[in-house]
Amino acid sequence: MKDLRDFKKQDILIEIEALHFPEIEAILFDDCLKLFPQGELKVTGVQNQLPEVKQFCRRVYAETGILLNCTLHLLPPLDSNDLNYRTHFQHRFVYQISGSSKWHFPLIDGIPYRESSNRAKLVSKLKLNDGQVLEKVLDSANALFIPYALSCTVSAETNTPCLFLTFAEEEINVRDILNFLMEDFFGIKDFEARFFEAFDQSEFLQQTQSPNVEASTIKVDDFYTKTKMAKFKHPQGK
Amino acid sequence: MRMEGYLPMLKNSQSPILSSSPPYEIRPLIEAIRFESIIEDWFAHKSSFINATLEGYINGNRVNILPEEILHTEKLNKSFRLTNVQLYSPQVKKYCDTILAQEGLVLTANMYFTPHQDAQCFTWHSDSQFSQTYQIEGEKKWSFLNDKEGFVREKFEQEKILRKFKEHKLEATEIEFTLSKGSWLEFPYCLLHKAQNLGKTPSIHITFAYNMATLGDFGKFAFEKIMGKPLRDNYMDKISIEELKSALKNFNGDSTEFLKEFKEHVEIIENIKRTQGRPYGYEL
Repeated sequence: MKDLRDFKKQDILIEIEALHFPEIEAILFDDCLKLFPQGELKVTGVQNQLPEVKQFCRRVYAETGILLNCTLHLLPPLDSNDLNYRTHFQHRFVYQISGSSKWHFPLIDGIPYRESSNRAKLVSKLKLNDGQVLEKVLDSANALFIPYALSCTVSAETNTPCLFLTFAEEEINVRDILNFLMEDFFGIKDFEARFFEAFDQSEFLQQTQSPNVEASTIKVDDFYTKTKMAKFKHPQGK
Repeated sequence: MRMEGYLPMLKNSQSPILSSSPPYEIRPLIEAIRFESIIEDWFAHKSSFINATLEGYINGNRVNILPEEILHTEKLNKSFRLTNVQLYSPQVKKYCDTILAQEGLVLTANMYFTPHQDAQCFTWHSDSQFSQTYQIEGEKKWSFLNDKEGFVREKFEQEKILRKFKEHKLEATEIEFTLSKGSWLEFPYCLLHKAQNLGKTPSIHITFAYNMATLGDFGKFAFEKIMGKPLRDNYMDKISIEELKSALKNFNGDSTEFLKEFKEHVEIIENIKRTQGRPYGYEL
């Protein structure tokens, strides 16, 4: 299998047709259906429920160090084409188990729209819905790599049940770094909880001690590991 | 006029506070504010202030609006907002100047006109400043989200929270506050809220925003200085750990100088807001 790290480096939408995922290919349709609670169309934490997925995620972690969270999705046949674009702040890799899904990516100036909270304010959702769209149809046993923060929506393409898995890797983001700098570098405890706290700047100037650059630099690797693990246990998209 | 003890209460508030009238200390200044005179003043000075803008809305979506349309509000079918009213309205400026002199706080003010019940004033969002609202005419219903921990404050992932709420996946209820003519509502930073006209007659309110420096502002300033990249609500952008390591290596660690720079930064921003108004969407 091509290394997922290569896809992340390329950071673009990539269709994966000829690759071999032995563990996932062994998954049975009926085993998947049994996982859905009554009336639900999404199952999270599939790596803890399907042995094949567990094996796949373990292998990917052993080979690449990438922690994947797996979610199983079922789309009703020929679901209405709901163009409510959503953004997942994760790298995602989709594997189609049965049926076909159509993935819609809004284009801005011919390029798939990638959202940051900042840009989201500048490009109105109306503009996304009115503009050009890039469509990718995913047939059974095909896969698609969707890079971090690319907006998209999905619909079923056929009358057969559309079943697919998404594998998501959480990333360190600006918010995490901001928290690290404030808490570990400047020693401001519970920074997020106190984000909106007004403060006296002169008093703050007197009280705040010089940050210890050396000690903070040593803490970076520890921060990275802990944050990645915490995000894996509590995924953003859940 | 002294207002001691009034603003510290606002700074520590975590919830909206509704009163039937503005606090005693500021009532004469606030009750002097008149819709018609603000419109006249805007017409007289609109070319002088780049940030004193007129924006039209229908159900929360931006629509074109001609300046002349707001002279005949009895025919108007859209909502509108006048920004940075403190720059040209003597009544509003007087209140803002008083607060600046008494408390050292820079205020900016926006006025909102909503013609009737179907023309929603603005939909769910949160602001980055403390707000005070005075209902000049008509009625308006303000809604806030409340969950088990209290009123919902969101800075980082506003859209996600609102989507969860709309999809009934957020265990929160709407708490409504109804403002009638003369009512006064205060609420702190980043509470998710929306506002809607309640009746068939126009609803007009003015909102004062207190731009106080917060720990979050310090965090943003520090992030930009250390990481060397802008931070404007792009909290969810990915960033590599190598970038952080490299930035820390280059930081000289002099916090005294650093904090002095932050103080200067706040003073510069406050001066811009005081003299030119608060640019739309601009934070401290």
